[in-house]
Amino acid sequence: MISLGIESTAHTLGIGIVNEKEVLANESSVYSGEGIHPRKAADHHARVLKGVLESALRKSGVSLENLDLISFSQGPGIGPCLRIGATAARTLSLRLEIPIIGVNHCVSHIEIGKFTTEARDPVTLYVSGGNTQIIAYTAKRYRVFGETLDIGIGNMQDTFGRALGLKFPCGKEMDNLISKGKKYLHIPYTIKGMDFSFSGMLTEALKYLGKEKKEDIAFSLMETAFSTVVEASERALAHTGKRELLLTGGMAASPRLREMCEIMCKERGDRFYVPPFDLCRDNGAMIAYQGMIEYKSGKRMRIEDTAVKQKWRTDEVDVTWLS
Amino acid sequence: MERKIKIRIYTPKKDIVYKALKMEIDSAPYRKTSTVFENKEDFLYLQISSEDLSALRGTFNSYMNWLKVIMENLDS
Repeated sequence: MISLGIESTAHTLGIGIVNEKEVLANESSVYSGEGIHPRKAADHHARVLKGVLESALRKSGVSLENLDLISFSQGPGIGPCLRIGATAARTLSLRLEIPIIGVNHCVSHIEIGKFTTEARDPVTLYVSGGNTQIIAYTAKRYRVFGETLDIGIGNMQDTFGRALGLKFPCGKEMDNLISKGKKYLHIPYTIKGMDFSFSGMLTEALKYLGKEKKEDIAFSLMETAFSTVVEASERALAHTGKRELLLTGGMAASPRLREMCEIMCKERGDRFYVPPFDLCRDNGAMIAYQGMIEYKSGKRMRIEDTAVKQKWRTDEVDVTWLS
Repeated sequence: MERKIKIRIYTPKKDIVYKALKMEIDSAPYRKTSTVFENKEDFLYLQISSEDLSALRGTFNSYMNWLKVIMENLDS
């Protein structure tokens, strides 16, 4: 089976093509501006979609007529952006007369992580701009054991980066700054049970601007934020008894976060996995793969079922593909 | 004063265009505009109405984005 996936939940328009064994293509175009303006990001996705699709088909050596399934990110995400991907998916499905499956973006991050690493039943630390969750599979659902009570950790980082005059997204520049920080400044360590909160950390960091070195502020802010999610992940591992941690999402690119996760897992005797970076950030290949495994498990969708779901929670997904 | 935009879409694949676009039109959260979208014998008819000119323009822009995506993927 060959599945084509369209990702368009936020600033990335991604198209991936997979079969049961491997990722055949994974192309994308990222909207960049001063943050994600919903209409402008949707305009970007509409403008680039055809080119990204052609590039994915070329790279994979697959033609549209070879496809067996169209998958798309149905939610959660930004409404105008989601609708571009959904519309394209419907058109392709109707034109080619092949099935269509809408999938949950967060669950897709987990499953592509399992497909491309040796993780089998992990606790997943999913960290991105819009989502920060600690997730594990139990009792036929992906359960959210901990999550942000306000903004995503990536959103916090990007907002702070914008205050520094960095362009969006600013992950690489922030990693560079963090590595130069030497002095730890007090940032509130906000964790309650396994939930965490980043807006207070951000406010405190912004207050330091102009008074302390930006490398030290960036280092202090992200060291504190990373510590909270790693602590919560450790609690989830202890609570569930699972022995694997999977780190994914755009923030998984952070060397310091990876280091912290690795140290924590090593101390516990647990295994730590991170997918290749192009499959950690938002991408079409994970959507294609998720659609394929759901379709093979028996899930079917009519065109009438493909309206986008902006607020679709991870734990609302019926996991039909795992026993 | 209510303003309207009326569009006729002529394409041999109008049934695909209709099914793909209707889903978005029916689920779009546009409260300040009203839309009529019909599959006629030879063309598709799209009419957007509103007393709010900004809302009219915003809804029109969204529909044009979706139509662009549909038309480009019909024949690529």
